[in-house]
Amino acid sequence: MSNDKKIMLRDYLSELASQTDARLNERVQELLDDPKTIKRAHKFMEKHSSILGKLHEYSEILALQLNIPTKDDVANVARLCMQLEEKLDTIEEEIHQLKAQKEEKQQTYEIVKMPAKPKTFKKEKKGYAERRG
Amino acid sequence: MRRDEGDKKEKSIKRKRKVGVSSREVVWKRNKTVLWYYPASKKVYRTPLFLVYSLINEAYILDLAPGMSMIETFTDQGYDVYLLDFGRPGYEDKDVSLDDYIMSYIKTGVDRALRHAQTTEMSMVGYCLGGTLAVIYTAIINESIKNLILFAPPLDFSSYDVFPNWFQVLKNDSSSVDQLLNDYGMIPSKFINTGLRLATSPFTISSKLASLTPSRSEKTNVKRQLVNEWLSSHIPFSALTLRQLMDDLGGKNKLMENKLKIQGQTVYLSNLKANLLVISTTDDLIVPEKLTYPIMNKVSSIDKTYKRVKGGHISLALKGELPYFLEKWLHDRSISVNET
Repeated sequence: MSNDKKIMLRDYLSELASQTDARLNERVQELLDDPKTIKRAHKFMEKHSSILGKLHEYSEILALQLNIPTKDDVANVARLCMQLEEKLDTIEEEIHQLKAQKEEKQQTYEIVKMPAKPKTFKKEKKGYAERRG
Repeated sequence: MRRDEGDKKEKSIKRKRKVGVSSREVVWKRNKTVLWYYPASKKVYRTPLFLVYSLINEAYILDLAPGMSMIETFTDQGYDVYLLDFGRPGYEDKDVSLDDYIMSYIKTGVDRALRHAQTTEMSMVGYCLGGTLAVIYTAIINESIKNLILFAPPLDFSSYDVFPNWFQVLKNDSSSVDQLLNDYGMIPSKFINTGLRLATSPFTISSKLASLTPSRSEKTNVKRQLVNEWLSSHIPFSALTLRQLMDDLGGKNKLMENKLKIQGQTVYLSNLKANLLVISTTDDLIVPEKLTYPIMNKVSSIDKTYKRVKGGHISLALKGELPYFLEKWLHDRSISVNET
């Protein structure tokens, strides 16, 4: 098959596929959004939820008998770690703020000390005048 | 032999994915959230970029491979980039709410990035649901965000017409769904994957056909493989956050109606004053334009631009170059290192 024919076939197939995609997707979405489907899905969810609840309950009892931690126990430990992380973050933040305050104070102290400089300048000026005189 | 080569290739791709293609360092970590820093190749701008990615997929799509990485494009342009990666949440994160994502992760992440960059302002870039989070954050805390760029954020659900009957049922009585979400605590990634596919395109014969006909370009084949791998790698979703998104943002459209509350604070979109650029794409099946555009009339930003470009939901992230309008928009609103 020549290259041109291959490309034409590929284009045709790709066009056919995207048209089929669109039609099938539309149909599936219509079916999924049908009120009957929604009603069935609601019933299924209620049943599923009740089974999940029971499984959860039994796994708690079993874990207690076998003396092993449940998923919730592990999650609780993980949450403690997260709390610790948050506390460390807060401490780090406070240290940073203290550092910034210290730097700010140091800068203010240097500015307050500034008036000493003009005196030196006057002296120097005087010395210079004397030297010249 | 061929199979071995294929396996090796896949392993190398996965290895690359785990390592990440652009050089980066950790700035801050909390729980599974990591703030990554990607230094500019040659720093041109003082205003760094802060990227917020979605909660549905992994953030590595922004740094997929050399030449297919939005982060690489930004760093090559001279921007320092910070990426807030929310990671893969586990069962212990089932009580993480939208409020936590905004006030605990994004807020602290922004503070840390500002301190690290030794600056007071930055440009925030939000992708998909990350864009929604960025809008909420910027509407609450406006001061440090100079520019806000949003890529296809789902914001206005008033005219959402996918599964209208389901939408109505959930709006009126979502008790059975709520109960199920509560029982799961953490919604498994497989459910997220199936849910999204059902809402957009359950059948994808055309994409299967495309993968059967290998392209002549090696780059296209690798890109296709990497994207397919990423598309199937959804992450678990906290049930509490999902319920908030479904009820408050989806069902009651609270964000657009200025009724959404984050830690007791009402989110007013009119508080958003940052320079705003909103981008949507023509073939986006996940977030169509009507979910995004209405924000333009709700914010107080004087400098606001809306752009619609050709492509799908993730096209721009994979291009390997910035579209000219984005490059110029960002350049005009970022402070250069030479400026005093």
